Amino acid sequence: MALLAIRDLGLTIGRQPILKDVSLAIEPGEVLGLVGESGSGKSLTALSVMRLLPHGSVTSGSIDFAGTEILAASEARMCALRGDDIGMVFQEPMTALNPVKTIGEQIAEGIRLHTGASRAEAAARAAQMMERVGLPVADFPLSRFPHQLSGGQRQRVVIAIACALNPRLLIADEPTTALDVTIQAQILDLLRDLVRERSMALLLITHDLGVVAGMADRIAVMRSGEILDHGPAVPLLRQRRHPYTRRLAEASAHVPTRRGAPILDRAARAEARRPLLEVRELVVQYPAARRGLFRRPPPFRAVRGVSFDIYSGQTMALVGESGCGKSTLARTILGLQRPASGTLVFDGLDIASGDGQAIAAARRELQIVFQDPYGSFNPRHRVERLVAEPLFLRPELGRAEKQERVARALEAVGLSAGDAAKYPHEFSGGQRQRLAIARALVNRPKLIIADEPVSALDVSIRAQILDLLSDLRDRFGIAYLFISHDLSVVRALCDEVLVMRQGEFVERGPVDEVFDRPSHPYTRELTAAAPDLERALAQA
Amino acid sequence: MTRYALNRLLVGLATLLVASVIVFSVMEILPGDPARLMLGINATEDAVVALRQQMGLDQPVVLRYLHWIGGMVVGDLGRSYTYSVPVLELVAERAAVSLPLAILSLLLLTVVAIPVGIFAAARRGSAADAATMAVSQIGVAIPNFWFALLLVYLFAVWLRLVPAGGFPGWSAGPWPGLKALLLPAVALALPQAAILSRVTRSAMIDVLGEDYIRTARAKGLPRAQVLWRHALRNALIPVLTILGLQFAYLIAGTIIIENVFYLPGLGRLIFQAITQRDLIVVESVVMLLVASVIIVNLIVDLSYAIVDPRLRAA
Repeated sequence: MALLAIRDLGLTIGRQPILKDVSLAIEPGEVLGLVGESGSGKSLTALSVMRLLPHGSVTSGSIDFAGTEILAASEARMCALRGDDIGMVFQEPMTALNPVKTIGEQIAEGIRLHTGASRAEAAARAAQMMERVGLPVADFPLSRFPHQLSGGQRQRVVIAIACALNPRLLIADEPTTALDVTIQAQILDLLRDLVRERSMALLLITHDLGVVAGMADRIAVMRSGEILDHGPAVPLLRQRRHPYTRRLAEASAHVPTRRGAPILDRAARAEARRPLLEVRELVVQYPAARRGLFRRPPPFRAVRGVSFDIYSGQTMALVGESGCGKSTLARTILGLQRPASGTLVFDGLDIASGDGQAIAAARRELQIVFQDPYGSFNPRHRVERLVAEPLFLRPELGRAEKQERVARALEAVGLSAGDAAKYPHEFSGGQRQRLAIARALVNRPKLIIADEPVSALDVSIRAQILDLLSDLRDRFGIAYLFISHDLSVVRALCDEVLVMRQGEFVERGPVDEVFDRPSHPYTRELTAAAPDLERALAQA
Repeated sequence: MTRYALNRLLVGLATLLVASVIVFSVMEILPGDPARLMLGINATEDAVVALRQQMGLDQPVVLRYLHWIGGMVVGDLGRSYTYSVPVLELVAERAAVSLPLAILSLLLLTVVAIPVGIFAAARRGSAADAATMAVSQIGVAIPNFWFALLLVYLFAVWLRLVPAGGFPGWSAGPWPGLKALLLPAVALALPQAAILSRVTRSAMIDVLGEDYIRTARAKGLPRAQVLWRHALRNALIPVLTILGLQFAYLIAGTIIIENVFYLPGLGRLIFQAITQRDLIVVESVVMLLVASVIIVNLIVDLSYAIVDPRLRAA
């Protein structure tokens, strides 16, 4: 008898069909991986089980949880189930906790609600649970507020809330997507252990095949509100009988073809080529928060004396976890942040000096592509104006010339010149990232800084964008500084890699060498923690 | 927390100081001789000189400012020219009307606006929400003196529940006084409540869309508990900000409302003082009103830190 049996679940929100004939079953103690790209309906399937669907949702079919028909249960019955028999962990730990309540209150709240325990009993149980999720109360008192914890620690608190009452079913919706790889590995380990020791069933929702491969007993693959493929995890991922499953697996391991050999530092140096970007002993620091009226602690050093070169046409990767100084380094190269010391020479121009003219000249050849294809465009401007924005640095160009350049840039990224008249909301996420790349290309730059350019994209779109970046490099000889936390993407696209930790490079070299034979313990930790489909299948 | 509080207190004091300089300077740069202005065009030269001396106008500006501000600190506000009594006495007597009026309307404002805003947010998109917001739209648009006249007509003239105006004094016990202040407080508070309820509603709707609300629901908390325990406190920050600003409007509103209801309060005092060119009284009362607004905003700043732990560290 299945613990959770979803039969022919249908969902429409405001007449828009979202889910169609979704059928799933989870046995007690089983881990079911629900895989799919954004918009496939996997999160809404989970919210249907919790019955926390958005306003205007209409469901059909049946969801049976241990004998209770969820779609027909009263709200009071659902409140009794939620948090007690079904726990849920969400994607975004930074916003999943109430900022004005202590973590102790937030864990104890559910315990008190469902068991009627006294304040003191609930606090004691909350403390036990904190201990279990790896936040010993000695170091993390219950009186802490969420803003005093890191993302990984907050996700542990969310897990403590969800598991405090030993639910029979735990739903985890992309629980590690927002976290660094090393933290992701720790959180996945914690979930795996909790599920095993408390024989909970786990519905694990993710877009990452590497993650499910290492976690799930069975897998269901969703697309456009339907389940396309369903079966035991290892055979499903190995044999890839369903064409969509195969496409997903191939896209997630996609490596763009590189015309010409990778450009390696040592070869370039041997040929005595002049680097496009020369960074020497760069130090960037931020003033620390004042502790008293007259006491100011030493400034926080975000970047601590790093040196590297990027050659024309080279793709340099910069990897490291959040807070390691990656973005500060990128901002400094763009001239948005003055370094405290060190030199920064781009194409013969000294950027570090703070010389406005040099920075302006460098910026024409230096562009950036951001992570979020939704947030980086003004929604009220047409594409023509958005893409032409960097051209204000070249007042000598006439209107016709500018239009021509926008058209060429749009065509170079696989859009059409006619798209110039549209607004950003008319494009999909992947197309918007193409727009962002077109905007970077319009000035014909020599170096593009790409800050997690594919992290927010689905695997199939990600593969296309990687192909595009690779193609542009081969055609125009553009160099990239490619910032990413995703090692598989770095390996697919980049020539050399810089591994950054606490403002310093701990390891550097050609990508294959560094990732296949990491010498620094931190690099080893990173490569071991990165979820990898092939490795997980090999171990299975 | 203590540092935050101390910081806000210092900022408040600095604001007060700047405000006092501005108030003093405005009186200073008014064209013409204040003494002549106060006495009118038919005054004799002797009378003007005497008044100039009494007001200290023969002394240098900086000295006069220091004298004025120093007097204010020890409670000496000078002597009213028209009433011939110490300004402090005058102000104390009038504040006994205005302060209860301001507090009553502030209370009314919060008690009406916040629950209405929460109610509308909880039933977002429903007919009840639409109706509440339509009424509040009217409330925003109505000028408070006209609303006051309407209230007088309905409750005083027609239903004869409360007096139409005037103030019996507190000596007759609290109830007659309170009764006289009721309509003015309603007239002051309701238009502001319309604004605040809209702010509360939109703040609540924003908060109800947050991830942690979903987390709370996933714990099994019923909707109502989520509303009170998780949403309200987070929505309070913008509500408190607007409330602090509205207090200034209430204060300014008393000048009109006290005239409509014929209440002997500070608003009426300042109005009369201006028409009678009693600059000493104007200066002091304006400064008093400024101080009360600054104090209320200080309280708002401190309550931010109580509501939001993230501000305590700052």
